[in-house]
Amino acid sequence: MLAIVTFLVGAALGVSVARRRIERNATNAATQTRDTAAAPASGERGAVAATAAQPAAVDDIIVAALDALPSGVVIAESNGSIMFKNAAARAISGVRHIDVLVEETVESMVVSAVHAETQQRRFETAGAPSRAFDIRTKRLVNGRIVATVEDVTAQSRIDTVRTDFVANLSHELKTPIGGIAALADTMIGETDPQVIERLTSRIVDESYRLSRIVDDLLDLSRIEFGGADDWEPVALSDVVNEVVARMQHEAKRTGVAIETKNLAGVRVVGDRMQLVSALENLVSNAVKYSGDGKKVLVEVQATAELVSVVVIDQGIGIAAKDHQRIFERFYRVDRARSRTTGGSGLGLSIVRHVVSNHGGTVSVVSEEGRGSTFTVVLPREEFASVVPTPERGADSPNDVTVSDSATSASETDVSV
Amino acid sequence: MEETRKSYHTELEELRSLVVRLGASVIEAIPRATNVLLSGDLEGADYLVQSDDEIDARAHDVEDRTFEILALQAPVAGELRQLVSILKITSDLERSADLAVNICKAARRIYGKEIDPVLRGLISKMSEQAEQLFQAAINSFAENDAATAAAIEDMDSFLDALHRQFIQAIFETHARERMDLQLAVQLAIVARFYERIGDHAVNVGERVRFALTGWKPELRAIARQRQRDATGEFPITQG
Repeated sequence: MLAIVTFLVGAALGVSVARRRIERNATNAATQTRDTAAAPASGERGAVAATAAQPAAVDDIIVAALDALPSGVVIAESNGSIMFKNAAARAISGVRHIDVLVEETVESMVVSAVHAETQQRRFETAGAPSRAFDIRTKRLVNGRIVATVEDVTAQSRIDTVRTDFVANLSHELKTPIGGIAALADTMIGETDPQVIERLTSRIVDESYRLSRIVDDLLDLSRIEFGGADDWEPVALSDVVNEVVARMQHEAKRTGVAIETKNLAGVRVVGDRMQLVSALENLVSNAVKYSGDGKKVLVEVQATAELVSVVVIDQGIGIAAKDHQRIFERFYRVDRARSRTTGGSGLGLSIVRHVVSNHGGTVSVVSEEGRGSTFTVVLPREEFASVVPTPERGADSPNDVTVSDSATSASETDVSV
Repeated sequence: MEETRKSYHTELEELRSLVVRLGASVIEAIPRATNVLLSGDLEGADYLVQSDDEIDARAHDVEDRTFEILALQAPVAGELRQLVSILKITSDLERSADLAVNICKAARRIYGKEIDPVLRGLISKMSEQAEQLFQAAINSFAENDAATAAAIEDMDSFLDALHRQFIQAIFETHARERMDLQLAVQLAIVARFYERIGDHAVNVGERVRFALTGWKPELRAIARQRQRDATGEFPITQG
């Protein structure tokens, strides 16, 4: 990026110099013509004038090209005073505090560019959602300085998602394996049958945990690349009833009441098993993160074209900064708590893929301490696309937008 | 050749731009301090505490420049009000940055203690609200918008309500024996810091209003006092 800009800027400055030289020549030529009145130079003068006019157009083209770039380009004199900003850089000169801080960083880097051929700095803002900018400067041959500003918020998120995924995957797999190894190791040489029994049962638990993670990973991969060959109309009320029936035992055990507001006769086109699995993950989370005596409401709502399933809980809620990331594989809001709540860390990722496979969206509104509301919106049977395309590029942040919410609880939409 | 003296209006514009920049740093400090508090980020706390020195230096620079313009240019009317307001706004900004530092210092004191989700949610909300108030105050200054400046006081009542709600939640959490007294006290102090940041934003708004229209919040109190003087009524009846 910086190389292209440096080339363009170099070209623009080069053209300006060339144009000045040509203009000077043109003036000289004109003077000469006046001095030597005898010379029949009208043809030559015309040619010079034409040459002088042409670079002006090239200059404009280069400025237009710089303006068309998505990144901000700032050119400064060697003393740091700014001589040019392209359209993207001018757009950063607002009063929004992020713009002000970015502009300030660019200016301070332009001033310090005297000491370094090239500089690069990543500027990240706090707040939810956080934003990231890469600012680079390069000294040009004539002492001038070019700076570029790139909004790398999305890219920075992808980097975090990727590194966290690898770290989390190894953590999730290593923990049960490490546990099994340690337990088995302790069993060697153990003679007390009671101790052996206890160790064995823990090994079984850890093995199940491991197997659940692998199952979920396989499910996720199947959902990600699965086609829509055997899709059929599915009554959403059946899906809700099945999920609630499956979750009822767990809910009773933890003292959580599940209520439903179902709507008969609303159908979507899709894979019944996938839909059950997605909704089960949402309801299971709602039950898991609610305390004794709390309520979970599963409600089906419908408009002419869309149908939505809303899962509302009164649980611990999710902090705004995590809203963007909870749909990532293995992302944990609270790693310490994940040991007690169990689960593979893949639930919401499965929900997201299932919903986007079905041409729908999933969004969350949540506030810490107040509870969460997850809403899945799907097209009704009549409006379902005939061949839904499986989602590509899992965990791509492009699918996640945080919309400004009127309330202070922020809302995250994950859409196709 | 001696450098041509900058025009008075260029100097004034530069000064205003410095205030906007100082404001941007303060706005950014609020969510940073909240992140430090909620995630127990001690490194982030050190960073914010150190960067406060820079904010102090910049506030000092703004004040110096303002004195210089006042002394050399003898401005009158709207411009005089503006310069006097800048002096007061700068002090509000500097003080708010100090409060963000205080939040970080509280975060150090409660490091390792778990904060109840309800309280965490309310802290996030207070922080967002304080940040929004300051953004509105700085926008009103940068854009000479007296209407926005006047609205900030009303916006602050939401932050005050959150503050009361937070204190109530501290009592409830403590009563359920889910929080020790030290944490409860520290969090109550932290809530007060957010509330104070909001008050400084209101002050900035009032100074912007004064610069643009000549209106001062004190005028209300003065009018009330005059009313009492006229009727012979005393504010407090003494037994």
